[in-house]
Amino acid sequence: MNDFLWLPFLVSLLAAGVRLATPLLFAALGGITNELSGVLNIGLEGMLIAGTFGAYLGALLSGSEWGGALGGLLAGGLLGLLFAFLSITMRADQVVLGTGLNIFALGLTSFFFRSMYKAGISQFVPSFEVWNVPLLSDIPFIGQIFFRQVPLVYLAYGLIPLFTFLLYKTTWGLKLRCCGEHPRAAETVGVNVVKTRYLALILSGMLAGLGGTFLSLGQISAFTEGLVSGRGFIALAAIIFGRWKPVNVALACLLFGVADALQLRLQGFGLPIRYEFLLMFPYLLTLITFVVFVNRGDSPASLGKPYPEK
Amino acid sequence: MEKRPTLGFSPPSLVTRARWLSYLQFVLLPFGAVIAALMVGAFLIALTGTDPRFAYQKMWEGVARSNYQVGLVLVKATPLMIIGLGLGFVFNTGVFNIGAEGQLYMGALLGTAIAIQDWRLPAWLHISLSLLGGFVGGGLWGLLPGYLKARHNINEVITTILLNYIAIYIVSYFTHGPLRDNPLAEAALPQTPEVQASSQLPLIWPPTRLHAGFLLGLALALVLYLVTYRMAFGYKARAVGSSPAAAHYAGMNTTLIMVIVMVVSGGLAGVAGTVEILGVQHRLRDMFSPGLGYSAIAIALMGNNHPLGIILASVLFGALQVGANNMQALAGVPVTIVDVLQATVIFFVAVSAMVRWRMPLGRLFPGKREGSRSS
Amino acid sequence: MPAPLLEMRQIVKTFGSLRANDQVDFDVQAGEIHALLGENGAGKTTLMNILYGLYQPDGGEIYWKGERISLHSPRDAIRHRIGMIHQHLMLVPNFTVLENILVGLPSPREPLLPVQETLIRLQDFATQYGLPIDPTLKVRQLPLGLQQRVEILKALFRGADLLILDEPTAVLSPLEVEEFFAILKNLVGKGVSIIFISHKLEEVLRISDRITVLRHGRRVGTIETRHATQQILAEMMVGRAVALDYSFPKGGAAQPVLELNGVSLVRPKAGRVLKDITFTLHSGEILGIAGIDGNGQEELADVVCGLIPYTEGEMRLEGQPILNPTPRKMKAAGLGYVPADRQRVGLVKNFSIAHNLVLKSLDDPPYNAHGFLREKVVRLNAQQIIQEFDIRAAGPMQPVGELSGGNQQKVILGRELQLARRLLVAVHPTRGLDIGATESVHRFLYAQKEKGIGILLISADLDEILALSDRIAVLFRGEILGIVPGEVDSLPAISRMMLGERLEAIA
Repeated sequence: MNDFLWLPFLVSLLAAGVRLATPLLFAALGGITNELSGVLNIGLEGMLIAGTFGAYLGALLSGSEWGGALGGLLAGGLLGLLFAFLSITMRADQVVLGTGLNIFALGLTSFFFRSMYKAGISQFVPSFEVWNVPLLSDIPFIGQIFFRQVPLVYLAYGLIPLFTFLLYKTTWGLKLRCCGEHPRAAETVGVNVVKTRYLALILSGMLAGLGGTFLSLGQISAFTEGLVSGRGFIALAAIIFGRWKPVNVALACLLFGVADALQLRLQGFGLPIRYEFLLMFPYLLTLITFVVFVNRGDSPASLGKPYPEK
Repeated sequence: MEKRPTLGFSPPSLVTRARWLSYLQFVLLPFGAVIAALMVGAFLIALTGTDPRFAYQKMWEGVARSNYQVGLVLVKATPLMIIGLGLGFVFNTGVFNIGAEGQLYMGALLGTAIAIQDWRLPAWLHISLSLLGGFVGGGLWGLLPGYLKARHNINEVITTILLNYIAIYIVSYFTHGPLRDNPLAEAALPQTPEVQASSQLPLIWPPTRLHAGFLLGLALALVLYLVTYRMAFGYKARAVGSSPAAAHYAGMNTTLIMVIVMVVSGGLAGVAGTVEILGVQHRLRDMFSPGLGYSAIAIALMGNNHPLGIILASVLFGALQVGANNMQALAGVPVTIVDVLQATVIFFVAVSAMVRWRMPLGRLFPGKREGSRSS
Repeated sequence: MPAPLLEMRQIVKTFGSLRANDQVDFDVQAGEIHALLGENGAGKTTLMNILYGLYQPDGGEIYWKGERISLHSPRDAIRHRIGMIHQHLMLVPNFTVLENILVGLPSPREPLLPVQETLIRLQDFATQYGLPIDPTLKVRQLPLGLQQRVEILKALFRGADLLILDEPTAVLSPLEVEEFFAILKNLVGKGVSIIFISHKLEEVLRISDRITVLRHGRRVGTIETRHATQQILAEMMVGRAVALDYSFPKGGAAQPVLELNGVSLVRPKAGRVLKDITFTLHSGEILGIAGIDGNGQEELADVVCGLIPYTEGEMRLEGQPILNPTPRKMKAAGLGYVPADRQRVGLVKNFSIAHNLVLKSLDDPPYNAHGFLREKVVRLNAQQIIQEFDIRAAGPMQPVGELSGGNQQKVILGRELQLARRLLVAVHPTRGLDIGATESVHRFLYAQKEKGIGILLISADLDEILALSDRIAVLFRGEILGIVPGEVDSLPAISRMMLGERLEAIA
């Protein structure tokens, strides 16, 4: 073990962790927004899936990775709109809808994919290139970890301070949070609760769509089924674990991202741990942290209840 | 949200207004859901350039062509029915168990482990032990999230889904490792050896592949009906589902009830997994379930959590699956369209649960004061 | 007579088959305090919700400052400088006072929150209207009287020429009510007109200039306050000459049935909710627990009935100590419990009347045989109780959620009185019920006392407590400050105890 170079390993691990946390981050930030507005969206998984395929299509059709990002964004946003319509206007149970949305997205993307490619193999599409941030990427260690990533990663992390600001320092953020805590009160001071929640869900879908974009375009430059594999639920756990505060949630996502990166690296180590257990590790970690640390009582008071109740 | 601030919700269930009206809704709801689903399917099929009428014709042929096909439908329906019964039971108690997939894997694991043993047991004993193993495996997998929810109000949606992934990997480990058939062979597949002949479920309708598991499913439906609607326990469970505060006030041990129901639900999923192995696949393969646990959610919802509705819904979904297979083979429509159809059913049921409550039935009952709106 | 500030003409509002407002005329003069009086269900809040834009009228017109207007949402009402303070406060407990006031306020520096400016304005308002408040506190840390003040500030901030107050004194102590009335007079002096919804006759007579009475959705009449008396108003409200108070003969207490000694309850977030509760309830006695809502009443009931384990102290039933009481144990010991929240706690809405009536006895013979429920026995029992208690329903199998409030309460009473062999705990038993149903409930309760059952009556309605109780204890911040005889002479002591003075301190 003395020959083992710990430092490079650690740096490479953290860099991968930062990268792998990106889709979680996109999904979780969006999830915070709709939950703070009072809608419980467990369909984040489905929105991520839609994003992976939408991004692929977008890149295929437009010939550029940014076209792909737009595609992912639209795909996720459309699902967000569908969910908003069914849960807010039709007032159906949000948990049931979320479950249905996941199955829907899975089936729909698979259906279109297999219709397009009978053999089940996609083409390669333009994808995102790593872009080293000038100056910052030269900082020892930190530079390697944070500033030598694809642009989507920078976007995701840039959203953290943006959302913190938006949610806590603007009139829009206050209105949104009021909708989640006491929608009737919001209504009585003139806030349009329905519109606010619709927008929150569409935004959430769009962000998850970007997360999906990262999974297909940012990682493999193609599309296959099974890219998301439960990340939507890990994002949900991160939201609760981070108590709906953007910075804490981001840290949670980072933790899970590092776990994922660790699992991948350990596989190559020839450790006497079976491959399947390594694969299981992120989910197990999420479960344990969720169960141990979930702090009851911080959720928005009206989360999950349809409004108006009449 | 009262004293339980995190995310556990009771899914829509039947609100019994007028008896006859509710029976009507009983029939209309699944009917409407299917129509809606087929319309969405037709739209998607058309999008890919295939003629929907042609495709659906192939689907129908796949189901109705012969006895064999009908038998196949019932075979597909069997595991869905058994899982669905468990889910209906647990949904009625207000716990949204999405972990049926993992529970069925764990049950199949334990059940298969017993079924492959060469213990020279008579068939009835070997099958019973294997099924029992399935129940235990699935039941234990449901115990953990059930306890966490009942005692600590930890959201069961997230815990059960995470456990699904974990279970699938555990079974994957076993089929790649300790339970692997012919591990030293060159192209050894990740699957167990074939289960002993003494543990295989007998066929009950040759020449179709329909096996005794179907009868077991029907028997379980009857049992669950009696327990839910005729026994005190069932009333208590349903009270916990619709009014947990009232259940606690009335002296019911809500924690214990929730845990029991979750264990039963997990156990039934485990039995379903085992039945699938013993009756159809005859060995446990890696990733053997095409999302049965998730499909069963749609079935329970469509059947309104009631055993009769669940039987019908599972037969319907079996038909969809068989038909879709035929549709893929002969019309080139990817079989994953079934997922889309299922999701449409879920959406339809979820939306119509809300719509039902808006029906103006006030006039039917004297003494009802509409809208307890204050002054 | 100058033109009225507000005129509502022939307002109609229907919910399904219920006419909540039936061609109601209502007007307000500038600078007046106009009371809107009526029983629960008379249509007062509906009318005001229409005025505030929360509901749309099915018929009729609204004239504001002479112009015809239509209000499609609270936004419109706010724009016209109409403000409303609801019965259930529209405040977010987790937000600070400042945040609650800021929600929805347009900002000069969109999208940034105008924190500084608002703080300054708040100071001004505080001095001007006599409504001091600390803006950094979270609303859940404030007592109800101050929370209401935040609501008033919210409305004033948005500019209000007309302020609608819906049952504002429901949650205030007598002293806070005084302060509140002073604030109202101050507001009127500053040019705000006020609509005051209430069902409390004495308050309405004190504070208002004119009174409009609604009954069953119709306007009965409008009267100048100086011409009004309680009798006249009561008759207008109920439609017949009503004896304003009745009371039952007192006395008859015998053996101790329930004893609490030093019982305390500490809860994780709320802290010490019950402090050192000590009293004895005797058979054949009605012990009333008075106090303003929110001082520990429901917790006390839950503790006695075994729903919440108490932290310290001792409970005895007929002399025998009860350790770790649970709902099951208490039921077996002969306790009946009529809970405060009848719909959520007392009944399972989806179940039939019959099943609700045996909700606590599902495992007991004769209803249970080998785990199966004997439907015939359950139904027979229901039919019997329906008859005895005169429950208006389509049949024993009707889902209980479809019954009216009064009938639902009868179902609960039917069940609990059957179970109460030794004692009965009733919390707010007549809340939300009309006069007829209230009298019924009171008679049933009294009948139990005559049978020798001990009754713990917890209520915020002093009239009810005085009418029924042999002795009255007052609960304040989780403590019993004193126990006095249940007669009208005790009122002054009771009022003072409700505000926090101990009995010993009162001469």
